[in-house]
Amino acid sequence: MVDRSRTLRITTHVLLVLGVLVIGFPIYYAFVAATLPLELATRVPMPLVPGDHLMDNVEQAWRRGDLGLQLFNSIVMALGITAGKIAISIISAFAIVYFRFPGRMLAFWIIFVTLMLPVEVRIVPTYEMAVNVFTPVNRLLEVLSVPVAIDPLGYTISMRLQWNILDSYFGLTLPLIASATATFLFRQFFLTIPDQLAEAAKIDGAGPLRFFWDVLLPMSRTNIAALAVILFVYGWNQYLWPLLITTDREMMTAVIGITRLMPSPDDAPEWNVAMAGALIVLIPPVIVVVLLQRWFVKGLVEEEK
Amino acid sequence: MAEVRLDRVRKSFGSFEAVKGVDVTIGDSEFLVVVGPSGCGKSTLLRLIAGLEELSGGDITISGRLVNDVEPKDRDIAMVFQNYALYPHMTVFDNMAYGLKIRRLPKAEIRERVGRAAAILQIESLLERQPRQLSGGQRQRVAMGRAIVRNPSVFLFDEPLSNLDAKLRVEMRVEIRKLHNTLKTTSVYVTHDQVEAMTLADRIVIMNGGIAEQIGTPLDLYERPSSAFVAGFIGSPPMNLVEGEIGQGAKSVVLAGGTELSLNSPLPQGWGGRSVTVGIRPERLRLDDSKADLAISLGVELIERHGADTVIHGVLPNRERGEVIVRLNETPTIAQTDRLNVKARTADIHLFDAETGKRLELEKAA
Repeated sequence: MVDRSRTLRITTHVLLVLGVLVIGFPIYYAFVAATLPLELATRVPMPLVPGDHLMDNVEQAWRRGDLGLQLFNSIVMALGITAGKIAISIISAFAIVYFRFPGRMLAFWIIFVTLMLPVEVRIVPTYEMAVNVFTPVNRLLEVLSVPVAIDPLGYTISMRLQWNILDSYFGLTLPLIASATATFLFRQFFLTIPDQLAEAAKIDGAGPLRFFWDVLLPMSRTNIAALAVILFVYGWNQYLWPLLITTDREMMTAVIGITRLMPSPDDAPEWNVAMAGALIVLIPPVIVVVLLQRWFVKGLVEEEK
Repeated sequence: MAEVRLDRVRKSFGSFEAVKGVDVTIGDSEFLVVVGPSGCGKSTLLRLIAGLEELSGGDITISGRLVNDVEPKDRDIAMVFQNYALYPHMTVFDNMAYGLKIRRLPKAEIRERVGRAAAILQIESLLERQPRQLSGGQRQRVAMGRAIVRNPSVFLFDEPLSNLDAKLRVEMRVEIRKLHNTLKTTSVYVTHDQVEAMTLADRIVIMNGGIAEQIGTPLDLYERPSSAFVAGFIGSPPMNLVEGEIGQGAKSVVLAGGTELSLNSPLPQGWGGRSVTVGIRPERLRLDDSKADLAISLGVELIERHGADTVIHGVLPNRERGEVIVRLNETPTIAQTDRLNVKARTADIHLFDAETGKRLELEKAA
């Protein structure tokens, strides 16, 4: 942008600094809380200068919250969601853009409509499915078994399939994997790739899968990286779904783990430990964002020619 | 080496008929150019030969083999696209080698073939670069290289020079023709540029509205256009086409506006009073010509001095439109004078039926 005048420049800078303060201050305050001993952390108002108890608090939080295991669970879940979402959406987008099949637009619109159905809205049926993945199959069997029930001997044959995915990595990731947003993004990207490229590949003798693997996938690298950042953070921050389907302590994720560090009314108000826990849980997504930042911006801004 | 035969080839997209039955045989090592205005079906025709579109009717044979239902990769063709269609993430070498890798050729042979093609096209120094580091002309060479390494029986070019600037286009045009003279691979070349068509082709197919208006050598098309459309398409500036009528007695042609041209060879008696389109090439109108038997008086509107030649835009008397362009290969000292008298020969007059646009043969008539 071209600087018009000093006043404008100063105003924009003041606004930017204010914005950074508004966003940054709570994080700073959490950090300060995490460095204070209990007495100072509970004083009103809390001091604004960091103390020297950071390592103590971190150690306490790590031990009490069992964060080691939970961070591991979170990483598995976040990576699973990221990888799964990208794999499924890029393949769906490939099908929708490059193949002419009956119901192609219908398929696209159905995917598109699910954009409006976040996890929270479909949580009850999704939970039912997680309790038994075969629920729809069983319903179908019930309907189909009606004629069998009128057996002259009075026997009824019934069949029920059961597969419970509660308290498993599978259950944590699978229901969150379908992604309309990512599919839509890849679709838009594929549409910008000239048709002649696919035709050139056809003449070169590449089949559809070969074309996908050799041409489309490498061309989508920056988009995949950008999406990976967004989706990792999305997966990491999942709260409601893991809360609902994990009862086993072994399967709990870190975001849920920190809630257990929150002091309950009867305990000592150990906000310093809770904040230390929160800081620990904050670190992995920050690392991912910092590492992939360059790709992230590139993927969102520039279309590779 | 191969012969490509198109037999009553048709293609419809829904209710729109893009190609309405084209018959043409492209001889072994012939360079055929398909030319026409946009939307005339020329690209569709090429894509049909490539196998990128399915035929709605008719047959296509390549080297005597019916290929109607053969996949593009098995037709033994290679295509050069207008936007080059290079794989953006691959180096030049990989772009050229991709088709060979898929065909599982030995590595050594791939390297050898790519090397040879790169040498022909003088792009050896670019092999490790990525397409985005290349200029338009270089990309075009790579696209051609990708076609050459395959060593196909037929080359298909889909407006390969349209994305280049004017100067480069002329250079590449010469190179493509030289390349053809070396490789002698049967080629089909689609363009909307009649100059490209005239300079490159052994034979030209002029398409209009999904049909082949005329098929012939460049000079055939220039000297004996089969219709007013072809006459107006070939040549630069294009042939002057003026509405007119054959005079009573069929010994003259009366141009719109009243100018009467007395022909020295009479037309068939029955033609008297017939409405025609009269055509004459701008370069066949001269200021001075001892063999000329016709004279036309024009009002001068504009004079363009190109250096080597002079193009004069004139109008027929009593006519608002009826523009006549004169191209002189001299630089006459005429100013924006009111009147200009130009001369022509009867042999250079083309007559077309005013309704169908089809050529009326003067020679046959005589």
